[in-house]
Amino acid sequence: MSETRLDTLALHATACDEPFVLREDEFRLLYDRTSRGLWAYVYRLTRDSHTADDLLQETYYRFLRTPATYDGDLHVRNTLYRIATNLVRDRRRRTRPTVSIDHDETPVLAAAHDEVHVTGERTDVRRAMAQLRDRDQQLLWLAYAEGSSHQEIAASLGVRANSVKTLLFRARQRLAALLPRTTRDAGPGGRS
Amino acid sequence: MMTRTCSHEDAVVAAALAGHELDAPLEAHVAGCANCREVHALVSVLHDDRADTLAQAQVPSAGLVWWKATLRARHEDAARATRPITVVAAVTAAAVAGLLVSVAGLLAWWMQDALAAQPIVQALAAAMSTSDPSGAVSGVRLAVWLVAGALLVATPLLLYVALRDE
Repeated sequence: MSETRLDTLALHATACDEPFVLREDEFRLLYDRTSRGLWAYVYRLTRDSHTADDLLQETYYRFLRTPATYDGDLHVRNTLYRIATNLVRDRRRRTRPTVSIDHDETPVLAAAHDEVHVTGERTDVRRAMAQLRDRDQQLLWLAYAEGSSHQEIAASLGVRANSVKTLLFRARQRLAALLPRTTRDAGPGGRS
Repeated sequence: MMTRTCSHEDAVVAAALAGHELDAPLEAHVAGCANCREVHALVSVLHDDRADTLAQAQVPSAGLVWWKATLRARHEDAARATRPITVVAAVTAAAVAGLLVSVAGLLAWWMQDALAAQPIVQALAAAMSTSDPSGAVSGVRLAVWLVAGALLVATPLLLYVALRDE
């Protein structure tokens, strides 16, 4: 979807009596570009693939049903992440987490991860991440897994851009505090 | 554990995310900077984690998501469209009920002589008007009031249950 096309989304949504702000072909393009990263983000926060599927569906539904004007692909992406973040938060409020952090993967993914995550340090980091509060997980994931800028993180999480750096620093501190001493000394992942 | 951020942090993050080897000056800096060393390691772990998750992810197809969204939108739009009809129907029902009660009252007033002659009405009126010298409430009187109260409570509840799905 081009930026020109994005600029006309609001007009498209209000001028026509369509149920969604995008046509199907436009939606498919957007979905193909954003869905996998968004799913991974929601999955890392919920640690359940079925929940991630549901929240992904809900995220796009709300996006499609909300007329708005977007300033480009990044704006659309940040909006999707913002919706997903809010949905994860709402879901967490409604249901208490019952999944153990030691079994936080679906069987398929767990098996795959066991093959890949051969070092104890990496598993330690994953476990420590799972123990962090949602906001810290979101910050760390967006910054260090997605590579989002501070402005993008702010837009995705609904925080002020100039506070992202401080929030990230504190999140890293809390993560480090949860790591075993051996992992902490080597740095997360033990790669350094 | 780090206690402060570093001006080289952004460059370290960018290099780790890109999967590039650090250039010599940056590598020398990372070797001596606990903050950047930790950030570099953390980015490597999380970025690899994301790559693994993406590789294993079975994201629903765009067509399926679109189809589900379309069904839901139709359902919600239909519910929204019929909501005014439901409200009008409820108001109409209330008006008709009020009219019926008024007509019944008028009929009762016109036919009070004929009604008064009915034994059951006489018995009911006697039960309602009889006052026990001891102050106790009679059984029939209590039953009539209980039925009236139950109807008052149950009617709005039944209306709510009947109309809530719409």
